[in-house]
Amino acid sequence: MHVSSQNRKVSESQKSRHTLVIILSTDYVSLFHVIRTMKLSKIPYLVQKEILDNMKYSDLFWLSFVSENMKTLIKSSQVKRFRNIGRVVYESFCDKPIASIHFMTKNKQGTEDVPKKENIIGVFCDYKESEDDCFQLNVSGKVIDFRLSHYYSFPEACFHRHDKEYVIESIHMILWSIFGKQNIPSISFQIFLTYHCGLLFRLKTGR
Amino acid sequence: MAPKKNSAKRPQPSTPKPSAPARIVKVQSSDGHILQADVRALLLSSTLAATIKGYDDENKPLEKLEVNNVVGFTLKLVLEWCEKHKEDDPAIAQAEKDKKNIFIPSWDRHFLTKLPMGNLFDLITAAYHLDITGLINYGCKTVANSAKGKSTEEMRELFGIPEPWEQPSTSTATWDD
Repeated sequence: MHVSSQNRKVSESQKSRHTLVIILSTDYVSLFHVIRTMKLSKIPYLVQKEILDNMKYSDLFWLSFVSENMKTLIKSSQVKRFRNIGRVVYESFCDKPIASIHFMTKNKQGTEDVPKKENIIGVFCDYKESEDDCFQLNVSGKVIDFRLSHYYSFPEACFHRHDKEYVIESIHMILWSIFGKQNIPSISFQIFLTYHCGLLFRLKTGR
Repeated sequence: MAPKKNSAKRPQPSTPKPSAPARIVKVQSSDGHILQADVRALLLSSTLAATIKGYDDENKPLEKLEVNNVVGFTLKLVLEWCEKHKEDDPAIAQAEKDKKNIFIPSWDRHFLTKLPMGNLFDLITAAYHLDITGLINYGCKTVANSAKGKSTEEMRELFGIPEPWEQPSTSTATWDD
């Protein structure tokens, strides 16, 4: 108890020191300016679009969970860019099933289009009661636990085996709502997995 | 870290050129602060460039430019950035934007990342109003980079988006839900 209280004091003093450093480093700044936080909603639309244009697909996907309006903004502002996405693929990554996005983008010189891939989400994971780094998200109306993987740069869903069907269905639905044919007419959903294939295939063709 | 292969294509740091003496003008912010700036720095803003050209065409003395939609604190940051980049070719910034291949030079990265998010937002908005392509590019890229690899909760905090239950439930609800 004593240690945690000490830690809190240290953390508070670090925080205040951080604020002080900001004030000192910009001598003309007033405290009013330091404590303000950014509100993306207050930025002009073209600037919002410019910021979203610079984000990776995976960051856009996770940002879309923040609010319904954010999801709408992402879908409407990124219509042109999303047309570069060719397919959403359920595949195996280090023996774990994941969903990834395959798209075309300009090379570094900006002279020609090259194919690229981004891993978006780990689809299947065995939930352990001891996990304490999970966070919950509302995915297509269902609350699902996720955790930031220690091994990969993308979050993965954590769930009990008996919840498998509804979790997979929810994840597929959210991927469909953002990257589905209503937004990207030429997109295809592909499955390169040996197990859970039946369920995913049913979801894919059901759409 | 190894140097990037296409560094030759990137905008090079400004090199001092032998040129005419600096022409200094006063710039007034919306809250009445008066700052001084080199005209070459102000020409990076298409909006201010058009105003300056208007004065020059009519042979009117340019004593003070009024920037009515930017406060003094933010205007100072804008002018600091423009002063650093006054030798840059605006066509490079436009080309970078068109190619979606924006590389933030180290000075700009330091300048922008040291700002709190609120001030960065003000700076980008000011750059948008003043039409400074390079500053918009670097500012937006910096904001996008700051969201990289963050969880949804961290993004919510970063972009100042309240939780759904903190939102007003009336028909006057704002953009944030």
